[in-house]
Amino acid sequence: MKKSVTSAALTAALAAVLATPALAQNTAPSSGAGNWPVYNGNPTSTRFSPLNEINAGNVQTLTAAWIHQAGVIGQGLVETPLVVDGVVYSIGSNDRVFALDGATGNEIWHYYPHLGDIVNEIAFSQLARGVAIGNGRVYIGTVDGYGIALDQKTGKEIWNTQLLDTRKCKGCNFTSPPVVAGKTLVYGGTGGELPGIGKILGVDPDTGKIIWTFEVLKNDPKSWGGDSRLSGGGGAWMPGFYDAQTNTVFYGTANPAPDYDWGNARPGDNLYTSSVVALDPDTGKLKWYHQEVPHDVWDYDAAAGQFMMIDHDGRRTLLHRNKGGFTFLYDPADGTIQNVWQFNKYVNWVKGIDPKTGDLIDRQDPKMGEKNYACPWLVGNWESNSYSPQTGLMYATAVEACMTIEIQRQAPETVPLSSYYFGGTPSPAKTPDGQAYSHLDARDPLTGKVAWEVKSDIPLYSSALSTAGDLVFMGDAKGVAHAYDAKTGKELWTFNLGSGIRGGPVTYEAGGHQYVAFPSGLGGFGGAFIAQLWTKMADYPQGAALVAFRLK
Amino acid sequence: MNTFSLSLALLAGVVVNAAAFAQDAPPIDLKNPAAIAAGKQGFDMTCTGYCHGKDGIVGGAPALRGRTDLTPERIHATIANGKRPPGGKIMPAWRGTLSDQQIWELTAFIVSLRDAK
Repeated sequence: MKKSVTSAALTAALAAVLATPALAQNTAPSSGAGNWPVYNGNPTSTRFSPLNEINAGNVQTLTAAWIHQAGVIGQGLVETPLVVDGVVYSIGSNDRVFALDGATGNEIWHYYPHLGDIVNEIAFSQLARGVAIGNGRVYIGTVDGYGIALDQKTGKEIWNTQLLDTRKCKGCNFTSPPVVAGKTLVYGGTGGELPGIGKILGVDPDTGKIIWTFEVLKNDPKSWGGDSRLSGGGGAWMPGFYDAQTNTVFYGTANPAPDYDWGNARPGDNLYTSSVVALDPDTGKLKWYHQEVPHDVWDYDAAAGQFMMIDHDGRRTLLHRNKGGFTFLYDPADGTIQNVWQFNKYVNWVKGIDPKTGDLIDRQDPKMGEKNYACPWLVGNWESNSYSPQTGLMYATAVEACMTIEIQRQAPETVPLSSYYFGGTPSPAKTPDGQAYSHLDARDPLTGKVAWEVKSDIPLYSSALSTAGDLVFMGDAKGVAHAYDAKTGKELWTFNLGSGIRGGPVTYEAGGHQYVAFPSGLGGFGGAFIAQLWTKMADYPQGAALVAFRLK
Repeated sequence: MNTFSLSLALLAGVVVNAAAFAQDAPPIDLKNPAAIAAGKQGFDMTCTGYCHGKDGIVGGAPALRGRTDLTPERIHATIANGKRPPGGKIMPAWRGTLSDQQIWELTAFIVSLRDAK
């Protein structure tokens, strides 16, 4: 059985550690121009590539080069693949990992973990958003709570250890890759709607042993009244961001549980849920935090927003999006708020957020027994954005839709393993003027000022990719890949991939040429929820195919 | 066989079949409004959000409204056993987590969606 670490595996792991020279850092692969070595593309997390063989002048001739079929479509293909030295590292539903030749799509190796039967029972099953690479290894976190390290060249398992007790923590697991953070491999576990205590873990990259644990729920009765902390949710289910310059790993944390509050479900501000936390990756100690939504009663968690480091005027600003429709700008050294700007057009849960302090202005908490109506919707605004230092513009999508919230009292001990501690039902709803649409904006990242906007009836639903070829790549929920002129927003190229695009397109170099790879296959809970508002999407097919393009 | 014997035989057949059918029949009255209401509450709490959507109005899982093809027995079995289509999306098995009464109440609610658009 997969669970026990056999002595053979231990011996192999020991041999691997002894064989390699002692490394002070857990070295991430080179972020050379042709690589995509980390989830958000590069050390500033901007999903921008300096490659420009493909550019606004020739993208019309972009043609399909190869397709890799992931084989399991359960939760689509919602990954952002990594690419190092012309090899694409892809992960699909059920944590199946592939190393592919970037020029031909031919498989070099694959690794299929033997997942425990618990994956047939838990809520957040089958989902896989990416892998991490460092020290000649490929690292993953599995949907049954294990951390696994594979040899980057061969795909052979190096270590495989249980990091979370998925049954005990009410279904907590990993649906995103860990972060290579200096000497430590950092894992963020799921949480949010699960009635447990969400965690971020610091793991030894050589052995898989847990070095430190950061419990996302602060152990403070003023923050968590009664025994609400025991089922308070939290967690950090999207990849964090490692900043080598300050040796800090940043995470956006998940919302508290229950999502909705019937009155006294969890008295207090519920730290550190729906927050940005800055951790020392060597020790797990908290350096600073900002709680973007204190006592979150909407599910506007911080986990979904990617971090970006924006360099300007000799200064570095850390940008982070919150699901509630606002972008926060922080001083990465200490979390001082530099600005807050609204990116969703329809926002009614607060009047605004103070751009100097981050304080919520005039919050409108949903109430038990009332017809609550909140904007924006809790789904959408999850995907990563892109910032091009060439245009100075940030490319980000937003879904304009709202929700009605019906609050229901729920006892945490009655929540089955397969279910959620929601405390109510959020249902999708149109905006006050009867709309539901999405838009891709090009904005000044520091002020939010819009340079151009593309509106779409079908949600623009993938992560964004921008390149030095002055292109922005984006995929929609139907499965069409788009390329836009980064300066003007003019659509220059499309390709119908056949199933919704929710993951992240990447670009890389292989065999001397530039490729753009799009993962197609809707999956994810955004895919599930979104069909409730865009009802024609209920007929959209599932899928799981990674499609690479190059110039003819 | 004379007509009377034939009728008896036919009647016996009907009675036997009815008895067999009664063993497969749900243990609760699926049309009972209280059962449907209990099922709806359970559905809202457990089945909607990420999967079947409020009132079965689409989601990431198959639609449950207007499903005249689903017999109560099949609905009950699917909820109890879950579904694991090869390579597809997993539905957990709810037997053991929910009582059989609760599963039949959910069934009653889903049956009530048969005529829903």
